[in-house]
Amino acid sequence: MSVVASLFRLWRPMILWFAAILVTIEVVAVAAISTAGPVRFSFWLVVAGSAAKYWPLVAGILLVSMYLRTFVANGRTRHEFLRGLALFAGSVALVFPAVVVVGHAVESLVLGLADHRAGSYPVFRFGDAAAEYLHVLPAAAGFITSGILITAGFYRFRPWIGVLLIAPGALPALAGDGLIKIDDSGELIARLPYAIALTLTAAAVVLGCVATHRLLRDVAIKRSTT
Amino acid sequence: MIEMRGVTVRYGDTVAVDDVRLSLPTEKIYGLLGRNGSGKTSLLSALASYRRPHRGTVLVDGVEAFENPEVMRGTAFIRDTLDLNDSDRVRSALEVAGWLRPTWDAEYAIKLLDIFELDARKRISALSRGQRSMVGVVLGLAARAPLTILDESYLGMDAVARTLFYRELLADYLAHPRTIIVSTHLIEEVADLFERVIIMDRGRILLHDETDALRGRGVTVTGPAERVSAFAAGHAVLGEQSLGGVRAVTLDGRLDPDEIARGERDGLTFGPLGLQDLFVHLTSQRLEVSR
Amino acid sequence: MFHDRSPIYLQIADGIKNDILSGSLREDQQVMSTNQYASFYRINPATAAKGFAQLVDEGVLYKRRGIGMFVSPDAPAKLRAERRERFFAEALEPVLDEAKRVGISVEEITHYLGSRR
Repeated sequence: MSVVASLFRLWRPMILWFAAILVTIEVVAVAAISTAGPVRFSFWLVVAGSAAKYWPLVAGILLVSMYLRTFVANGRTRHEFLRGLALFAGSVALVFPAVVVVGHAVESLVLGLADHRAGSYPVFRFGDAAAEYLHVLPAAAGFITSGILITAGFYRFRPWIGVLLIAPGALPALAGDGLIKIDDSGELIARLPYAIALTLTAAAVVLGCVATHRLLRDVAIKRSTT
Repeated sequence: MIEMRGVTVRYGDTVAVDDVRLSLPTEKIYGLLGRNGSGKTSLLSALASYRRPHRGTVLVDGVEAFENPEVMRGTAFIRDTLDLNDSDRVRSALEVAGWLRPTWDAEYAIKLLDIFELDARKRISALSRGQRSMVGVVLGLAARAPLTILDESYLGMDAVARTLFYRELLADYLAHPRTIIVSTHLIEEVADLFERVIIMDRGRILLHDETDALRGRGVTVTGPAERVSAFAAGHAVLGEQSLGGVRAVTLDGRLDPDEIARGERDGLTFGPLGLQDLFVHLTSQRLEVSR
Repeated sequence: MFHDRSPIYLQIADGIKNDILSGSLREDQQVMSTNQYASFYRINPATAAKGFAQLVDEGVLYKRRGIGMFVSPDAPAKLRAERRERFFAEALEPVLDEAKRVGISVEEITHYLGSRR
């Protein structure tokens, strides 16, 4: 089995549990909010929107700290692991924003059918789906890249150097989240013209990938997790 | 053939492996011996590509091993700390090995679990030290890797478990010959399984020879001080001890029977040196000096 | 089973010679294969193979390709002759040396041996 396929098999329970918890929170919370009258904001965009940053961040941290040695110990090279890691992280960064958009669509539709949307609720429109997706994607990509890169710094060096490397390591996340975002009222925000903001984020992500490769391509396999 | 060419491993200023050259013909069982801190684990880490040597290369069948997918696929390095996450269950650790290792024998892994009476549902964190070592042995043997390295895989095992381990190691080697390197401190109980022995001392290879060639290699000679000294002249002396007028020296090498007969006529007594004693003498110069 | 005061392959060879002398291995009888021997006595098969090779070299065993190793027809007689030759030097000399050290005369020894008959 390839590294990326194994990673998905290993993470399947974690992904399913996380999805179940997210959906349960959404259903319970929106039902509770609805009892107080029409809903004025998208709870899904708040919860899933931030989950699309922090889950990839945590996943990035665990991927390096826990799984590099698992794969090397089972006869894979660092490069094979890094390729699988890139595919896995790429999939997370691409799929999670789509989940955010689809969830928003479902929430909007259900509240609309129940006639429970207040005037300020960000109604989902099919024509805006792509724009919404492209405003979640940069942060998701930035956070998983930073998670992986910062952990790679700690993996390679002594803790105090790892701490020093947190700042540059956070750049992809800061770029993705700081330049392009979507707020809970559904407004799409780009601090610079979108194309420039996206280019900057993409550049930070690519640099992060190159740096990760540099850090891990010949790293000694540690005995413990950290 | 597995070759180490001038391999050096360093940690900061500490040289753990010092310019080691080693040629290991394949499909043999090797025993790697050495005192604590002699560089065994560092040497094995370089051999298994877990660590890139600062200098030198490791070649497996003529190709450089580091980051070589084919060589990596054929290498199983089981460290005493186990490369598993504490929250993993034994079963899932074996499952992952099955996904990733083309040579994995799942049925044999189950059989080994049975032999060691290990519960596959348990988490690694719930296992005793000895049971963790057993999981390591299961992972190492069932991988059937052409190069299998077991680094102190007996830690915490009781005498029964160790006997089971040695028995399985030999039985599986006979059924599936491959290169197996076992590092150990318990020389006497496994030496019979090793075709060759490698002794490390302070980052260097002190000795690499057939195990059988070491049996009976050392001799202790005891008797009146001046006669013992006269006899010892011209031999490599590994250690000596005096009490009053009596002196005992340990000599390296095999004496020929005539020499022993002559010595016995002079009132000297000869005693053979076991492997463990030979190892202690070869690697304990400091001990001798401080005495 | 084996001790580490002399090479195991020599101990293996000696053990098989003793079995032949005592008659528990007979002429043209097949001996264990090296792998069987290794797994039975828990030793490295290369060590066992060396012991057997030594016996083949000495003509104590002979090989039949693809079948295994067998006791040479003349092995018992040859071994017995060898051991008889070595008996006086290796078994009796030390006894006489010790007797001399403790002051037992050759007459006393022959007397003792006579009474054992």
